[in-house]
Amino acid sequence: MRATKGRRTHLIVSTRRWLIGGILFIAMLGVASPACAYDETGTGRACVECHGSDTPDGSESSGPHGGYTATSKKCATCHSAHKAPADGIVLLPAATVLATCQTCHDGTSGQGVYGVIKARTGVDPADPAEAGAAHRMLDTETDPITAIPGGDSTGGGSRPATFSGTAGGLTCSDCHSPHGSNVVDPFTGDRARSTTDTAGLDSASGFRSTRLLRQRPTSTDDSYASVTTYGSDWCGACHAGRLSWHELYNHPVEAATTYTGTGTAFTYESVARLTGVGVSTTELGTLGRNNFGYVMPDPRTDQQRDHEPICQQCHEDARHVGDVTLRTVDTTEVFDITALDGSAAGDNPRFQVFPHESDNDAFLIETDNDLCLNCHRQPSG
Amino acid sequence: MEQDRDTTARVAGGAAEERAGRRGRGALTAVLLVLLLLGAITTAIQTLTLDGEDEVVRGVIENLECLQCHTDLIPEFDREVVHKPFMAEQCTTCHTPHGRIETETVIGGAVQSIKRVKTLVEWLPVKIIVDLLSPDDVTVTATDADSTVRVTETPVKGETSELVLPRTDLCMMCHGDMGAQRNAAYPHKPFANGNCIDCHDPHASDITSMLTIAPENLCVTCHPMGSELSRVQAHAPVEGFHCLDCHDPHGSAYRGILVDNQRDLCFTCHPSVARLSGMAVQHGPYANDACTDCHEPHGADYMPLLRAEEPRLCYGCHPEIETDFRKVSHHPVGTVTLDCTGCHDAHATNYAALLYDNDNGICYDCHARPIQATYDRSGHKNTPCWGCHTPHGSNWGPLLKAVQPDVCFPCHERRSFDDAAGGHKNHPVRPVYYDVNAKTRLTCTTTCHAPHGTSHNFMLRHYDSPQDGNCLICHAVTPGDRVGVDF
Repeated sequence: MRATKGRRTHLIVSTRRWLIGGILFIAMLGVASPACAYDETGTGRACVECHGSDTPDGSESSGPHGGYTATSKKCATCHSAHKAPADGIVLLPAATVLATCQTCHDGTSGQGVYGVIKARTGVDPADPAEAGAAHRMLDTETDPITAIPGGDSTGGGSRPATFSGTAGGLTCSDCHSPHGSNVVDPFTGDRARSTTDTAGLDSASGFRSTRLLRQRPTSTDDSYASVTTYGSDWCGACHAGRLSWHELYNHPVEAATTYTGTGTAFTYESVARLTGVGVSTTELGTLGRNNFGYVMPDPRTDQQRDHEPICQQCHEDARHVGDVTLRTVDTTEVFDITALDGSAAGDNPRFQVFPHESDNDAFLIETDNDLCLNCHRQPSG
Repeated sequence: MEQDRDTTARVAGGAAEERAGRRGRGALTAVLLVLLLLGAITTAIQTLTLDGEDEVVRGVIENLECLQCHTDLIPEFDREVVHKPFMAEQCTTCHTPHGRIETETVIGGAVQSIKRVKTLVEWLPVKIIVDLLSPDDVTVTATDADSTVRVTETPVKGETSELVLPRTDLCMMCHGDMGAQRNAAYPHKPFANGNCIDCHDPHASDITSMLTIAPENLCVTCHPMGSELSRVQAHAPVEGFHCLDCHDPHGSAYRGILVDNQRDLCFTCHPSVARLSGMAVQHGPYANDACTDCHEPHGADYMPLLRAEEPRLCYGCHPEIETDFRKVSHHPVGTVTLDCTGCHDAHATNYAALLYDNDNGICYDCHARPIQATYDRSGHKNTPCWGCHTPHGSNWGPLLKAVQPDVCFPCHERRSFDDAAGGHKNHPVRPVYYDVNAKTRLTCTTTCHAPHGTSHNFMLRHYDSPQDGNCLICHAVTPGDRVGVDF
């Protein structure tokens, strides 16, 4: 019942945000777009030259971010060996890494990364007064992000950090390698974005990609752990204090570094997930492009026993999963993306921009009790 | 009886007269025989000692009086060349006769004439005797307008003969046409000083121009050429001692007593060099008649008769170029493979700086491979080599006119390509960085561009733009071999 109400409310809000987003999109057509090192119009170059082609197995092409060969033509997409803008850095089109990335990944038009939710809904998740969350990354001289919440592995508090962005603050390239170098193993994600996924909506297997995630963040501090498999351990490289649930008061979380069971610790690509709608059986599979991994049937299955949830089983793009009573997934809660770039308000999940921003607080997949009851029984008393 | 005595006396007298007549005829016959004998002997001597030419005979006869004592001069008449005065005139043309010359002046007038006649009458017998005893006395009487002068010359054996004029002027008496040469700008000292006989025999010689010795031996008596001839190369005329091919023995208007100005003189034997005189650009010494500024006319240790080896010779006038060649990067001038004349003509050309050519062709003579093939198809094809390079030496290799990348900026807007210009941001191009591919200091041309052209656009060395290979050469995402902060 709560789920039904929540979904109705979500639809109303989504419709309103869609209208606002549409108005903003039309308005943006009349204003200048950000400076870009590469103008796809008039170059005579085919899209595939930068973005590659979709491979038969549905794996994502790396676009300009990797897969470089002597005859590929990707570097010039971002870098200008000569006549780069005077205020640019490392021959990039903008003064910061963030601004450079946004020349292509600007979400303010509904595509891209940051700004997508606001563009679609009118609600800025980075606004503390509004619902939602944003992985802040200002890349500015003022107020640079130089502390990692929960980064202190012993105390659980913040950890000072010096990143590669402006004034030592966090920027895109601290988590992502724009050149696809030393990145984690590919994993299946939810994302269905127009820039890379023109034919991906019907790709049942989803897209396996590294997301250009670095194995370890860029920092002057080399104490960060190097992680090759995306999952809790990847998050914990920075937010180490969040992984410690034996010594600190944290919700249990499964990570290879803290796992004490006899099996194999869950990762994003390998969790126990329901095998279908309305069932309580599980299988090991990817958390991505599938909503069956966000609930735990009661009683736990053998695959779930002795395991804790990974970070992403609570923190991911906002979505609707989990019968509050049965802790299963019904037909209205299955993974369902019908349009690219979150343009369809009823898609589940609608926005695939985690962990950049979310329309839920703290990047939780659901809010309040709706989240907890995906795994926990309702109190009987 | 008296008649008989008379007759006998007459007969005896007649016989005596007859004997006397016979003795007179005999003496006359003897004199004639002696004369004939002398004539025969003279003819025999002439035949044996002289060649029998009339001129010689005439010369001997003309100077017989002198030759009686100066017999050593008789063979001179048989030389190839005999001085005309010696041959056809008399020795006294040049020489005074032996003896003192006493001059007595008798002033004319009645009293003096009477005294003279009186003295003549009183001393006439003595005078006749004295004249007989001194048959060589010569009395010359010259009459002035109002006086009579009598000159008596008395030859005294053993006295030194004198020239009729001072030696320095004597020859000019007949060879006055050569007087102008004595005043020439560059006279031969012996000639100028009148020491003609330093070179010429005044009587006769077997050598042309009555030289004392053969010309190939004459000049070197004062001008020894041994050191010149011992050099690596001797000028052919010097080697053959043909000094007069180039030099006038008396005097000349040209330095070195040359027979002509240097250019024209040299051109007579070196027409290949003469041909260059019509060209637009001429080397200063060549244009200014100073062949010997570079060439040693007699002998030299450096071919072709150069005063010094290249490039040392050139540095004498072009010291600033020597400075260039001492710079870090310099053309290998002075090595066995290249000299100044490898690019410059020492005499004249039609192109600036005396170059053999006026375009890149002169560079291609040596740098045809591998530069020419690509350069002439490159974007730089209209830029001459010296647009970027200086031909002699530079502080910036390879022979650049300025350090890289500054050498590029006169044509390529600096703010668009220089990472230090403060305009656009550009890929580093300054050698403060290290080129990990070329393993040297980074410049525009160490890895990215080849300024002489390539088969790729933008003169890229390795790949067409915008192919990533250009970047990956240095920035390859390979551990341990990458550049940059964000891989």
